[in-house]
Amino acid sequence: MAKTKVYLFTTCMVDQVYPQVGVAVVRLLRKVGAEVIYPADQVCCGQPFFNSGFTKEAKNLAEQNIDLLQDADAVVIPSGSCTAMIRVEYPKLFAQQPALLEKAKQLAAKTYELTEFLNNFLEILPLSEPNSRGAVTYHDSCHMCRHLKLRDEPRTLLQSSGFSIQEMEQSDRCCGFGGVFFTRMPELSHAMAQQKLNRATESGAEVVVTADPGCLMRMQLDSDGKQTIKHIAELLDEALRCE
Amino acid sequence: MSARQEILNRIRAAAHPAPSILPLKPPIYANDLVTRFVTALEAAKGKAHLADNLEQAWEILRHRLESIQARRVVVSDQAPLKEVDLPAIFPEIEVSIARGDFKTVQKLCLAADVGLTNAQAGLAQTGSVVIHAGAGLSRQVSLLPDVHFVLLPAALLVPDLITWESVRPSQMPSQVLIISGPSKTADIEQTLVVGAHGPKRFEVILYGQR
Amino acid sequence: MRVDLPTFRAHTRAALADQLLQQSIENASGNFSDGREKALGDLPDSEALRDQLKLIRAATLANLTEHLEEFERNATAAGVVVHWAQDASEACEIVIALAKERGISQVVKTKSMVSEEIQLNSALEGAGIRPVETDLGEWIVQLAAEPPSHIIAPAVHKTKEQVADLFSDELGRSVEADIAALTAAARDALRGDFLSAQMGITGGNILVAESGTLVLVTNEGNGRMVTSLPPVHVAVVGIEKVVPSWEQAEVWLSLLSRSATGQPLSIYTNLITGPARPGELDGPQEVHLVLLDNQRSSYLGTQFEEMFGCIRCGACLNVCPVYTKVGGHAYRSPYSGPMGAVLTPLLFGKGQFSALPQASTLCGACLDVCPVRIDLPRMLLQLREEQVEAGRLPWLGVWVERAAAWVMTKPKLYRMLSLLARKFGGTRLAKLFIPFPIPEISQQTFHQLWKSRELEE
Repeated sequence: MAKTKVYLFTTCMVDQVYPQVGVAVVRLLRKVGAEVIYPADQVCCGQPFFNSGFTKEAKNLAEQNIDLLQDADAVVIPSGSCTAMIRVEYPKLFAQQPALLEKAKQLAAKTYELTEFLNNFLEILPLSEPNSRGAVTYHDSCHMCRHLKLRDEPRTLLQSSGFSIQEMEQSDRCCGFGGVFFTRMPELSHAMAQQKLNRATESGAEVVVTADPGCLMRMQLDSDGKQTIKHIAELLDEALRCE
Repeated sequence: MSARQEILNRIRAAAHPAPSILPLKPPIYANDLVTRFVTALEAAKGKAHLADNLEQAWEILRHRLESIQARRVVVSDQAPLKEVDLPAIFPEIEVSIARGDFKTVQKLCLAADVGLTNAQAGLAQTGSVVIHAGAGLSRQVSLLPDVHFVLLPAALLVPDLITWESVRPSQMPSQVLIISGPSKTADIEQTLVVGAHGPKRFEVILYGQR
Repeated sequence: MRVDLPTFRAHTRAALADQLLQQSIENASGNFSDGREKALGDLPDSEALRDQLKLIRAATLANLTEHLEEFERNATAAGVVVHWAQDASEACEIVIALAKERGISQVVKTKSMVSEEIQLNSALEGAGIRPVETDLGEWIVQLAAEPPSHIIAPAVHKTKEQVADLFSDELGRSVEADIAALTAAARDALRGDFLSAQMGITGGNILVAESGTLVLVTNEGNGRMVTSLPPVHVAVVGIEKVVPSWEQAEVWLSLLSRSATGQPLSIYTNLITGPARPGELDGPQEVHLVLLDNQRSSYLGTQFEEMFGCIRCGACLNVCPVYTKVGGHAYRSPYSGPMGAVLTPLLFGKGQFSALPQASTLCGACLDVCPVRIDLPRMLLQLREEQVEAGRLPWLGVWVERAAAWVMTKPKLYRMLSLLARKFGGTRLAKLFIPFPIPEISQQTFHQLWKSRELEE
């Protein structure tokens, strides 16, 4: 049987700042039996522009990505936020253009956030002894938990990989990133990240984990180095390699 | 053109098809309205007493007035409150019926430590009583004294505000007041203080069978 | 008033440095949010009720004329005098004229956001009429000569010590910084004002067209005093507050206090249908209702119509990561938080309040809690889009974003620039110019790693 052709859309943040997250994602996807295809002409989902009011620019990028990803069986993205852009916003952007709308809907229907996709393969993925690894605290990124309604998926994966979860207070309170927000309101963004990190520390967990590169960046910028903040793909990959 | 015309013209020009409103599924409530009423009212820092009949209600009232050391009670001019010989029931207490002009009634209410009224309905889910304004009645009886006691037949309980619709007067009185506890505020540091401008103590005596 | 990005950032810095403010907003928002969750949890199906209320509000706004005319007809039949005001100054003039014609020089008021919106107090003072705010929180901010900082908890930013100082000054005696004592002092001080006032001024939570009823929701009892004791009651209410039927008003009320303060119902839900009728021993002799437009009608039928479904519960403020850090005053508008970030530019000028649509991470927490499910993030985006189109943002930022977006549509160029950036010192150079912290870029991009041996199968 032919392998599932999974197109990996890494996001521009992973490409530029966190390539090791991309590497971890590739290994995880191969572990669950996918044929990973990385379309070289990918850049950005368009969300930063969409969120700051540059709708025309966002539409250009959306059109580009709709073409780029159309042959995939599935598109997997290690970011709740970028997944939400493609799945929720692309169809809205082309609401008045029937031909593109159809394509946008087709793409939306086969686009998955990483942990959502991996939840289909729980029998394959590292199923370590419960609590055999460290305690982590999970930060719910805004678009992932509110637009995509993904709250349990990352937690299930972490637990099946042997991590125990120590919830922080208000795990779904925004970390302060907000795309263009962190550039326009830097003081506020910083204060929100501080609060997030304080709560993470209060949880007593050793590692703060998130499924969004944007949140990862915001929190790392504010971390005093005492806190380890990781993308969920990195943690799952660690577990995989220790198998 | 008048302001009215200009505003209405603008709105009319913006009118568009409206979405249709689906009927609400009838909610499922606990059967025991009395229990729910008592719990809700007490959660709002009010107090509820249960009496089997009116006689017992007077007894409870007498007991409550004694225990809060009430001295003057102003009573709403309505049945059944005005139909009994209150001075005989509460010999130690000065009882007056709220009658007369605005200023006279106000004087009585300001001098009283307790106001006693009826209610026309009760809402079980929120522990509320519904009081209608009407001819011969004063709004100040339930407002100015520090304590407000209400006599309510248990049969007048309805499940909640939405089901109150079935007993709502078809001609609305000048004022319908839904009271759900003693007056309160949390405007300073989010700290709840019972007794802001209205009554500091609010108690309902439910009487009779449901 | 102009609140552009630099101004809002200055407000932000001041708020973040104010430890007392940070603590008080944190407490209040936490309390309100917990209360809301618990109160909605007590309902058999709060989600269905929210869906219902959303439809009710949308259907009413779609045909507002019909419902307003019906309200006017029924209210008039019940003896209410209905006035119409196109804007703030017309509304204030109507109220002032009502007072002057009756020789009234002092009025008692309940908390009303519309009154703040039209700055009724300063208009009254300008006309020689003394307004006395009687809601405890509103009285506190009136004595402090400050605007309210939360739509349902006006003095949420004040500590009891600050309140004690204000009360001691006002009352000319030392009042202890004890919350019960402060509340008692306000009760004593304002009782006389209630009894002597010749006019009471309120807002209104709901207008029920079917019976011409004004619904007024309060906890302290001041709303009852203001609408029962003075011979004249004047209510100023936005035209969007109308609802066709009682059945629908009851759905609205079932969600209002639960979403606002976490109460199943507020202590006093006051349904007012006209002045006192013959034979009643008290109640106002006259009831006037001022229906205020003030820009509202111009947004009906537009992408912003949904905003006018707002029932002013304040739930969105309490969960907003921005509001809970900066507080209400940073917005320089009576309407703050997420609802204020949309409503303020609509009512008071998109150009003047250009920072407010930017004061959000679009996290969506507001939409999660809105009893009317108003899509505030969508409208914030819409406002941002308009700002780009109208050239209201700093030109440099716009230019940088456009250029970045252009590069993103040229994958080869993007990859080339990625390599060049790594050749010439990574982010170090950029950090000299960029006025906010940015991360180090990696030594290699993922594009490069994908071709490396590490990922060979």
